[in-house]
Amino acid sequence: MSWPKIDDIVSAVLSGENSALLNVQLALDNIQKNSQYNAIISTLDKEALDKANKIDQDIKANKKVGILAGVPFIAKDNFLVFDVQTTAASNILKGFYAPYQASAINRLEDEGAICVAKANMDAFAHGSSTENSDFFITKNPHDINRVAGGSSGGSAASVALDLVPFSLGTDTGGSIRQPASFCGVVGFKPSYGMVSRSGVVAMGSSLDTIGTFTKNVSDSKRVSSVISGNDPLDSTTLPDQYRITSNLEKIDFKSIKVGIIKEYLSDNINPKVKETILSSIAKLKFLGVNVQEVSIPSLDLALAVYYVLCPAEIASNLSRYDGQRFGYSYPDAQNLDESYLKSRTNGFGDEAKTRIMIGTYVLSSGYYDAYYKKAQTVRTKLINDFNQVFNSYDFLLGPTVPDTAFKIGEKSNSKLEMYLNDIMTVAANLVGIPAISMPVGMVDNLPVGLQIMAPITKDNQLLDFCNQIEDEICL
Amino acid sequence: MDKAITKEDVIKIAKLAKLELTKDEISKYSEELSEIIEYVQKLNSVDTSNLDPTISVNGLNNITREDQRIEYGYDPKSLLENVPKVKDNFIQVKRVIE
Repeated sequence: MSWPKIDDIVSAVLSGENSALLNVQLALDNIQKNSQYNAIISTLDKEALDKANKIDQDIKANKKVGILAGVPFIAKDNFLVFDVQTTAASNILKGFYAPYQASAINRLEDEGAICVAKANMDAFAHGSSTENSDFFITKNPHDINRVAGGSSGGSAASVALDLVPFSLGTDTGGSIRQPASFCGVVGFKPSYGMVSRSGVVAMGSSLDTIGTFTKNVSDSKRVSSVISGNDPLDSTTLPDQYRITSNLEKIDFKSIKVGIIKEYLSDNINPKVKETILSSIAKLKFLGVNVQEVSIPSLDLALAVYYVLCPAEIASNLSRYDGQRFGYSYPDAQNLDESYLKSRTNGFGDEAKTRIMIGTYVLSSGYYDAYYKKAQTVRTKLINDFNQVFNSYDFLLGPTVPDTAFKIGEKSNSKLEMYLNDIMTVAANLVGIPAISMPVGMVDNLPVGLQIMAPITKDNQLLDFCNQIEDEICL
Repeated sequence: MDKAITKEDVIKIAKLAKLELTKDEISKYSEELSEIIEYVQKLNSVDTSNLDPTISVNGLNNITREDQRIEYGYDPKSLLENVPKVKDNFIQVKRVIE
């Protein structure tokens, strides 16, 4: 069974035709029936059922309930949920019970949404396949021998499998858009600072964003309107004037100019993926949208910039895992240094160690200017080039990923080859702009995602535009 | 040709990062880090002489607030529940200066 649109789920709960309890029971049942996909790390059975009962009682008593009343959702396991285990799929955080909760979860609960489970991911969100989870590999709902993508693979698979109507993920270099593309769902990464990151396990702090997986764009806008907005607990959040609104504005296609990114349609991509994207572009032209090819030559540098900055920020964010305050602590240490060394060495997985090593190297004395500072300066060039293109175009468009979902184990021989998966998604994080992946076709029975980007803070315009083209170009 | 990151480099970085590596891991990280560091060398060919490094992507800088106590209502005991060793509501660590 697939879930109705979120507005319809809420209406049915409010009218008494359905109940929050039945929704939560259905979600928990779906999770159990689809356990072979390994999308979920833990479920919140009692907590979720209690919350659902409370909402149903409030409705019966004519008390005010929120705009997401009785809607179950799943959060990636790097979101702190009060008194629930939060591991970020890492051994080092196994057994960590959150003493407080992420602002995004608070806002969703305030509107009546109910968290039913925590989703699998690459440990600490380091990866593009969910193969780096310290626990198990999430399988692709379209082909169980293939990866779901990553790092938010569990969240993407959850929505593709119809476990819940929406899920939360994080996107530092493509970790929402890439698995959305691989699993055939809508994945939205907002502008940097649009959604508070308070209570979310940090990865690369100048790149990290929080966003949604849904079956359609209007559901994404509804959920994003709830979680977006200024938060005193995250000083990088944007002022409320930019907040995402839940209403959908009508866009006049004739006033829109879309740029097709030439560099993203080179010969290095799967020709069938390219064909699918070109056919979506043809449909946009038919709708009356002005579509032109644009070139951003500095895009060729984006991945190199990302793989300096992101490990550097990871190395400093992961320095807090020292075995003293929370997480795994080596029990037999003789002195403080041994406690640090053994706790980190035993606790971190291979990918976290690789990234800590790269980050420590590029930040170390004598190399800081050559790598970190240079990368931050090339980042400025990339931002300037995007700003210039956005002077003439409202949106930029291209594939989300150069290919469809790969086989489990296929890319585990080379780190660099795995990193190349992010080649079309990292730019949006480096520039801070909103970007969305929409499912627009199938190639050899696997979904293909179309990526659309907008200038920073133009999240509402991006979602309105995508909502209006969705029926014409999506599956 | 010498690797961009030698085994000696790996040992030094691991020490800075507080990680213990086996012999095999030292070789493996020398290979992997070299591959990645060689890939990012392409940044050196970019002329950035007229540009400043990016500090903030969304234009927000130096966000301040009143320096006042905020009551979040957390019980200190509950916040200490994940701490490996607690003594009198403090986090206990090994002696820092021997």
